[in-house]
Amino acid sequence: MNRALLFKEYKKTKWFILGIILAGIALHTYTFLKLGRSFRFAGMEHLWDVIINRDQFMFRDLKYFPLAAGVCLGVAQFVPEVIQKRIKLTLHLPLSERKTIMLMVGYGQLLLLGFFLLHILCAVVFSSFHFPYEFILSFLQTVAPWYMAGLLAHSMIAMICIEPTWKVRVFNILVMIGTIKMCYITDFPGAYGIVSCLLAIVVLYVLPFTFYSVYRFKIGEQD
Amino acid sequence: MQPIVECKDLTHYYGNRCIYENLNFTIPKGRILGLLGKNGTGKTTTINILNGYLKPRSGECLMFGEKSGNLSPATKQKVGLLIEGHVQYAFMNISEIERFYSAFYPNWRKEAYYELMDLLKIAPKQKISRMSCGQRSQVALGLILAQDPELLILDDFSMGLDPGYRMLFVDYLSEYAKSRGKTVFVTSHIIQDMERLIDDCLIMDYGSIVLQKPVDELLTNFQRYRFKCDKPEVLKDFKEMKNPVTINGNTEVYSLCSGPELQALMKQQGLSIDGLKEERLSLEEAFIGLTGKY
Amino acid sequence: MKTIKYFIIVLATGLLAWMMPMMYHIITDEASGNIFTYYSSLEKSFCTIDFDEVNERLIRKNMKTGKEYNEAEFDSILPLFYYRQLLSDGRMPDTIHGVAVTTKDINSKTFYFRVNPTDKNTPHIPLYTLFESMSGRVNLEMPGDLFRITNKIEFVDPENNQVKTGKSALFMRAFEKRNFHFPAKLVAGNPSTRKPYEEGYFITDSEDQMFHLKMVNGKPFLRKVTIPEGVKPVHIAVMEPSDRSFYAFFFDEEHKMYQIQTDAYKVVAIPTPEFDLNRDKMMIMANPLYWNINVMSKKGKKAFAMDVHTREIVDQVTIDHDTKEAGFFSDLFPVSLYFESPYTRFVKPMMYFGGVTVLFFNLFFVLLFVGIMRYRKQPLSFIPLVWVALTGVLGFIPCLVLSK
Repeated sequence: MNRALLFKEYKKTKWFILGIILAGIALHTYTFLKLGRSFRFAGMEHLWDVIINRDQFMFRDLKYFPLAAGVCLGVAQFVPEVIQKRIKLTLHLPLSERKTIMLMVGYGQLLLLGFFLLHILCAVVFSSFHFPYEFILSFLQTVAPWYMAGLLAHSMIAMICIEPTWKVRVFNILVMIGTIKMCYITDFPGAYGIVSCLLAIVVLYVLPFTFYSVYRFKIGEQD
Repeated sequence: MQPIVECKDLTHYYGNRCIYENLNFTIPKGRILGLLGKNGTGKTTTINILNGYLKPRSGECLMFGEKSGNLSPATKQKVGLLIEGHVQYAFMNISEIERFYSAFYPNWRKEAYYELMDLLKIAPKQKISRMSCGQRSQVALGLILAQDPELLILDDFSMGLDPGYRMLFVDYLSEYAKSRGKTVFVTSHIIQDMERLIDDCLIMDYGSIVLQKPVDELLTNFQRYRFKCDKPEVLKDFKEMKNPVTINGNTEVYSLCSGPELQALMKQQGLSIDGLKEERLSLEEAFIGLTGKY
Repeated sequence: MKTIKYFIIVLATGLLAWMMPMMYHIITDEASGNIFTYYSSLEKSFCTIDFDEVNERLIRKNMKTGKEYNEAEFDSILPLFYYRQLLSDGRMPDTIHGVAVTTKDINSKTFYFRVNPTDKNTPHIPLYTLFESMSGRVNLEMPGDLFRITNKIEFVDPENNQVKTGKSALFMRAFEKRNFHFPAKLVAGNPSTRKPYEEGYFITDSEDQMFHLKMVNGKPFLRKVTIPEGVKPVHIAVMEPSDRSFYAFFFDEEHKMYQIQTDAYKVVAIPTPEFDLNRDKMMIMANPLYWNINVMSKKGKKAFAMDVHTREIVDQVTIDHDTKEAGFFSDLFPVSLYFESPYTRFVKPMMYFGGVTVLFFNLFFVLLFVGIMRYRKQPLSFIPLVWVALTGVLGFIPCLVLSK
């Protein structure tokens, strides 16, 4: 049963996943080529100098990519469920509703997490050839909030889609925007430091929110 | 024996608007119950409560003895659901959706599904979203038949279907339900279709149930009478006579009473009538007779 | 489900505690005009330029006597600030109160020094460029490596991202010889080629001892700087001024400021009353006779004039800000949440609590909440009521939206 449910999620999202992967590869390729160009034009020492002493961040193009990936995956997964109220079919499947929703949200979250980790790993591996570990640490601290924004967006899109009334849906959208804004307070390299851990707690904190939307759907809240 | 569905004292309001108060009905095992009502009388509300997608303001609805809002997976397995508009996972094709659902139901009857699919002229890889409304209804029906549930809940199955598909749907469904002793709860706005399908009818008007009876009993006893009457304006005071209408001195009423009973009743009240004619009704006419044209 | 609802309400309240003050700031913030002050070595008083908003003109005046000057007069009472104008006009005096001032003096002893809390509290990649300080060239050239100093000192070559083992070992020996206790706590230098000369880095070790590191002819120069007993440096700013009279300023835990002079690494205290590097900005405008030490805090600006020779504060003025800022929202919002501050470049959640008047507003919102729930004929639950009582308008909004 779980496999069948995951198959359904896969059916909805396969083109989006492919799109996200291609976009991720394209973005990294572009960034690496751009860095390569800088190596050739200005030399490594100059590049290191601007990164360290002028606080330049070489992977700034990554900024909104995880967010876009999270939103797209969320939309791909949950908009087909609310069109024609198909969620009724899903909730009627002979599984506990909690498990059904957990599997659906968990599918997207794990998929994103896996892809994000891979994406970060690519950047780290590439960087480790050309940059010392201090750069990589700073890189991780800088991009971590952006990737968390992707996870946040995904689970909150689920909450927003399943919510049955527009009034609360608009409220949820505002809560999502505010929560995601926490990940984009500044893009000064390394500024988040250990506050990233706090954001990770927020990512976990919002995960059960979708259950509340399901509950509201089940009791038949209407505009 | 415990009824399959039991609704007790259902009361629901949307805001301050009362849909109904203290609605009670049951569906015994093996019966096909049709819920008939005009738009806005609470058909969809009842279906939603039954499916667990609406919490009534008070009262409860039990399916297989469990509260409808909180069914266990095992009970859900015994209930087949057809959502208004034959909604299904349109992003799958017919074989994918068959494989998908088969994982959830231990008694899955694959052949029942494909028997119906073979009638459709569609490519095996064609997505449901690219099918016609009629074809989609067949897919939805095929899935329910393959699920082989004990209780089927069908919300407005005739919506968007042309007569051929409607007939096909009714034929398959009634054959299936009757031969396998299934319990069915069905709504439709096309009453003709229901007549060929249902055993019992539950007719709702604004705020209440007008009548719950086996269809054949209704059609045997509920009749239309035409006559000429000297004081037609007093007829509406008789509770035995439903929806009296007089045009050019010709009066038309509906009643569960027989012709002689009706005559006796009017004589008792000092009314004289002339040229009484009795007419047998179809279910649709009976429905209009009970609920009025407006 | 109620628990999840309360989770949502708590998050939404937190977001409002952050967003609403932010909106308020965006709408109402105005630049607090930083008024120019300079100590006149002639008049022995602070002078200022103010803007007369009524007549839209600049007012130049002596802050002690209140006497106003025109532009040319103002130039002449601040000769050490406007000396280029005075020189070009041929009005530059040879002496000020009997002390000879030469252009050379002014050029070499004039410097500007700024320090902000963000200089100290800022994320930084811990790698440092150490230039050759005796290259024999006029311009500084990139050294071809950077060093890291953790439990040892290592030079890394950017071209191949490899540690330069020879150079690292050479420098490591110097550190060991000087009894440096790794890891380093503070490492401060000016890694820029746009400076007249290179004085390398000032580094403190794990025991708060200070060292001066330079590279001379490719070899390490490491010297211990004797700082006063018990002083624990928290921030160092290396200066490299044109007269080479001193190396750096540093600040200690007690908010005291010190100068490391070139003369035998003498460490002298600079009087900077009421300065806290974690909250205040400082600017020093130095000339051969006086240092103008400006301390900018939330309350306003304090300007001190320090006699260069005696190192004593000879005069001071205070310019207060109009302190209306906190006003409105500290009354309305029981809690304001900030992630950014002018004191640090790190993202850091900070909470500020409102004043007593908040209680009245909270009560108002509780009553409003009760009224609305009554009007909607909804049952009142205890927890949302308590939450509105605690958080006022911030909790009122989400509780209202989600109470149905």
